[in-house]
Order: sequence, then structure tokens, then C-alpha cells
Amino acid sequence: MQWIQLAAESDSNLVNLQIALILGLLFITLVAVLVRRIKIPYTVALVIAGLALAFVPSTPLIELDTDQLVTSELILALLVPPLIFEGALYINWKTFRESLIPILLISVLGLLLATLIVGGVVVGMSGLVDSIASSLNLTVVEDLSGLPIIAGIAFGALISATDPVAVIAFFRSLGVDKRLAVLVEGESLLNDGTAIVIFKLALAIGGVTGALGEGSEAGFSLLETAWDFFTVSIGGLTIGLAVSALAYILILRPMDDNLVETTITLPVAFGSYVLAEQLHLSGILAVVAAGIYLGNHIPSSTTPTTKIALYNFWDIISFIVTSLIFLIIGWQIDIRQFLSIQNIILIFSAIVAILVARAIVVYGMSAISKRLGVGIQRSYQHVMFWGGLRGAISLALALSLPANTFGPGVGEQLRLMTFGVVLFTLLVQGTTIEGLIKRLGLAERHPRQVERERYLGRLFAGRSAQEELNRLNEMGIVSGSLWQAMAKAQQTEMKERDQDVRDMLLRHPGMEIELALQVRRSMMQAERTALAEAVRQEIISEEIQQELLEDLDYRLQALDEIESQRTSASPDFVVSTDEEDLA
Amino acid sequence: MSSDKKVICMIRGGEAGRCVQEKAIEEAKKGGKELVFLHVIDVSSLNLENEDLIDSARKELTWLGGVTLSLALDRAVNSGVRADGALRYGPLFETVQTFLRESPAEILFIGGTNRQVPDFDQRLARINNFVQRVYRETGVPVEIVTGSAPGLCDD
Repeated sequence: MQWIQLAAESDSNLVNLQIALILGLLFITLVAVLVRRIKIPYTVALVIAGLALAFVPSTPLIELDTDQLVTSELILALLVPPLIFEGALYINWKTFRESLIPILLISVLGLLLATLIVGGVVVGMSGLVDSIASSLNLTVVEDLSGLPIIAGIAFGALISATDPVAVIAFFRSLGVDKRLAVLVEGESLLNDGTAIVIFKLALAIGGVTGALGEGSEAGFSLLETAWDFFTVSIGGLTIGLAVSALAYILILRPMDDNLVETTITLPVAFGSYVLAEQLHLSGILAVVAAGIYLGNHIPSSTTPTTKIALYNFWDIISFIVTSLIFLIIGWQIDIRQFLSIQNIILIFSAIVAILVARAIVVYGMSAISKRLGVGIQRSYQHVMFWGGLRGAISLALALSLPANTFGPGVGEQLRLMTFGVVLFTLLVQGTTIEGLIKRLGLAERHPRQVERERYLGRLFAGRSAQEELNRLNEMGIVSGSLWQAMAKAQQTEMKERDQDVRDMLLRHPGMEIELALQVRRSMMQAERTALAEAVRQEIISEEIQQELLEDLDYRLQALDEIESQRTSASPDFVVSTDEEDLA
Repeated sequence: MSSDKKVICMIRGGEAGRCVQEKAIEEAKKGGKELVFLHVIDVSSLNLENEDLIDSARKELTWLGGVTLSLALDRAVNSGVRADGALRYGPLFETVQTFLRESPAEILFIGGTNRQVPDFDQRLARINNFVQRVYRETGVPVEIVTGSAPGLCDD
């Protein structure tokens, strides 16, 4: 009888979880659709949506025990690894290596420094909150002041991990230099790993069971902690490299099946994490190493079809996980607590602390890096400073804190502060970084490119208008002399626009090859569509379609390589294989 | 000067493309010579490792090269010049050298580099080095044409 009851409860939990997941995904989709209309960064929209969720009364449709559902294990073992792995997959080792010195300085030494600064400020301020509130004749709330030092360190670590998703999206849309993107992405990836290692060490020192595995003991020794940091980090990286190399040698290299090859990356991402954690090493750094290794080996060993499938798969996983984290935090945090004066003071001081720490780290470490021979230009430093947004990793780590970690209510307090800081960085820095990039002149596109887009835009729009006119004529809506007059006028206009494009190409012969490559790419996309249509009409089999698609994907990738060589403007290439004058 | 020697025009990258073709067409027309547009494809400069990708890159470069040659030929024919196109594969210098031995040439035209590029001097030095090597090995004089478009061509 007891078994039946347990089974029934289990079924009920599963159904509730499924409903929650379905509603969550629907909500994410809705936010994504709305974002397209109101044109604000997706992560900012998610924060706002999360805030709104906090005010939605609980519904009898889903009766989930959120404390049971949202555990530190769920966050750290299920949600964080895919986020890290996806980011690492995109790191180009060659470019990354060129900027390795500043990236390591900022993401390891800088993060340690930022942790200490932020931790020190919030601990100091938490001791002063009551007296500040009293001096302002404001009502104080009990149990929210006097954060333990180790709690400050844990907060300093988790809040120092940057999340550049929103910033990188701006980089891509504005066409910012790739080196800046590598610096920001590379730093973020490594500082995630460093932050998590320090965070877990802080938890272990604070006596949180299981923070560093079963064998860990509470207590603090600077030397031991430094040694732990070193061994845990190096060990984690080694595990990640070993697991990914094994998967690469045994499966990815010899196999030619996009489903199998994509699937194997899942156990690599989670397996390297679990294995490292079981050995009391850094699971996150294992995931970082595995992601970078596979991201740099997959392109040379798999077909473009697999590459496209694999990257699309991880993009979707990352999108869902990031969105879920934002929704969960909105769900978990009681936003009304922001109204407490202590919290406002603490969050404000944390915001000031992270900005000061970020400035010291970015400008300071850049100066050191310059002395070591790898400088970062000043405008890039400004973007790195103001673009140091906080996001999913900070929220995930905060969510992983039990409510009473480090003392009664402290875990809850840290979550609230984290949410406050993330909210600030996304709403204030996230919405102003684009302006800064433009003001610094980092988003200036070549006038030639702008001119090309303008003329082509007019041409395409004109063609579309012409087609519409013809369609209306065929439908009988416009006919006779009126249609003839309109068609003639439209043709004259089209001739002018066509001439504009010809004149433009005459002014900029080098642009012709850009146009040729663009057109060639469109032609290949049309070929893809045609193959799908041929299968649908049973003209060719799926097997042949796959074979031809693979060839098409190789050609598309070849075009990418040709284009990339052109933009890098290598003298060798210019002299040997470039083409020109296609007008 | 042998009358069956041809004017060769290398079609290669850079803003000077239109100028080099116009100059070569003018030279061929003036001397009543046949004009040959030469396009050399060196896939190795893409530094690719995957064999399938190298093969695809060769196909794409060939396709683009064919279009380029076709346009250049149209331009020459419209100017009343007898013209032909040649597509060759391999390392640039060796391929050009072989081609010039197969097709005796009076002069070889190539485009110069864009003056606005940051490493203009370095590129120009490379092109000059190429020109000297060609002349030394084949005896064919080489003329570098710079400029971005007709009317904007350097003399």
C-alpha cells in the first residue's frame, strides 16, 4: 500500500514537473517573440519576465515543491555544464592563444582580486547597514546584517563571473572587431571556471556539506586553499581534456553520422563534469577544457553537416538553459524584499563594489599585460569594463546556495543581492553598452559597405514592388492602361536603381567580389531548398539528398574560408587567389 | 619584336582590377595583339587541411574564377580586341612561369595593391619582388597598374 502511495506521489511529481517545463518553455517562447517586437536584449526581457513571475499567484495547476526541485545539484550539475560547454565550443584556440596573457590575468588573478574587493565591501557594509538605517530613521529588519567573511567571499566569487551573452550579441550586430569579442568571451569562460572553484572552496570552508565532495573538511588555511585551488583547477582541466580526446579519437574522428556525433557531445559535457566532481576536482574547468578541445577539433574532422547540426543543437540547449535560469530565479526570489532598506543599501554597495573592482581589474591587468608584451587598446578596455555584465552563471551559483548557508537567512540574502546586481548590470549596463561601443567608434562600418547595403536594399525592395504589381495585374485588380502606365513607371525606376548599383560597383571594384560571394551563397541556399523539395516530390531519395547536402555544406564552408581569407587581407592571398571585377 | 607574342593580363585581387584590364585591353588594341587573361588559383593559400574541403574550395574558386574571366573577356571583346582566358592551378610564381613559357608574351600586366591598406609598403615590396622574379626567370617585362576604377587609374 505504501509502495502504491509512493508511486502515485512520484507520478504526480513527474506530471507537475512536466507541466512546469511545458509552461516554462511556452513562457520563454512568448518572451522571445515579444522581444522581437519591443527590441530590448533578450536577457533583459527575461529579467523583467522573471520579476513579473514573482507576482503571479501560485496556481493549483502545478503544485511543485520548489525547494525540493531547485537544488544546488540541479543547478550546478544540470544547468551550468551545458552553458559553459556551449561557450567553450565557440572558442577558437589560435585566436584565444594570441590573447591568452590578458585573458588569464583578468580571469584568474583579476577574478581573485575582484572577489576580495567585492567580498570585503559587502561584508563591511553589512555590518554598517543597521547603523546607516537607524541614522536615517528607517525601520530595520532583523537577521539581515553582519555577513560572515566567508559568505562575502562566496558572493564576491559568484558575482565576479561575467556573462557576455548580451554584449556579444551587440558585437555581432554592430560588426565589432573579432579580437575584442575573443577577449570578452575568453575572459568570461575562464572566469566562470575560476569563480566556481573559489565559490565551492568558500562553501567547503564555510562547512557546506558536499561542496568539494565527501572527503572535504571544513576549516581554513591560506596555503591549503591555494593548493586546493591549483590542484582542483589543473585536475579538472586534465579530466576534461582526457574525456574529450577519448570521445574524439574513438567516435568523432572515425564516425560520419551527425546524430551520433552530436549525441556524443552530451555525455562529454556532462561526463567530464561528473567524473571530475567524483574525483573532487573542478567539474566546470573540465567542461571548459572539453568544450575548447572539441570545438577546435570538430571542424577539421567532421562534415559541415555535422558541424551545423552540432552547433545548432548546443545553441538551443544554451538558449533554453539560460532562459530557465532566469525564470527560476524570478520564481524563487521574493521581489518584495527589495523594499527593505537594508537590502537596498547592500545591493547598492555591491553594485558600487563590482564596478570599482571591475575597473581595477580591467585597467590594472591590461597595464600588466602590456608590460608582458600583449597590450589591449584603451577603447577595448572601456568596453570590457562596462560590458562586464553578470548573468546566468552568477544566478545559477546563487540559486545553488541553500537558504541558510553560512547562517540563518544568509543564503537567501546572497541570492537577493545577486539578483539585484544582475538586474542592474542587465538593465543599466546592458542597455547602454551599445551606445558606448558606438561612441568609441568601434562599430563604424566601412562607408562602402553601408553604401552597398543601401543600394541593394533599394533594388530588392523595387523588385518586390514590381512582382507585386505583376501579381495584382494577374489577379485582375489592376489592368489595362493603368497597369501599363504603372509598369512602365516602375521599370524606369528599376533601371535607375540598377544603374545606381552599377555605378557603385564602378566606384568600388573590390566590392564586386563581396557581392559575388554573397550571391553565390544565396544560390547555394537555393540549392539546399531545391533538394528538400526534390525529396518531398520523391524525385530523389533521402540518401542522395544527404550526399548532395554534404557536398553543398562543404562548398558553403569553402566560401566561408575564401571570404575569411579575403577579409584578413593576407598579402599571399591577394597576390595568389583573389578575384575581382565581376560587374 | 615577334608579332605573335601576346599581351597577358593577370586577373587578381585588389581595387586596381578594372584599371589593369583596361590598360591591358588598350595595349593589345594598340599593337593589334591577342590578349590573354590569366587567373591563377592557389588553394594552398587557404591553409585548409580537410581533403573534402580543399576539393570544395577548388571548385568554388574555379567557379568564381570562371565568372571573373568571362567578364574580362566580354570587356575585351566589346573593345574590339581578340581575347582568350586561361585558368591555372598551383603556386603563383611557378604557375605564371610555366604559363609564360607555354604562351610567349610581350608583356604581363598585373594589378597593384590598394594604397589605403595599412601594410601598403610591405605588399608593394612583395609585388615588386614577384615582378623582378618573373622578369629574371622568363624575360617578360611586367607592368604594375594601380588605381581603383577607370578614370581613377594611376598612370
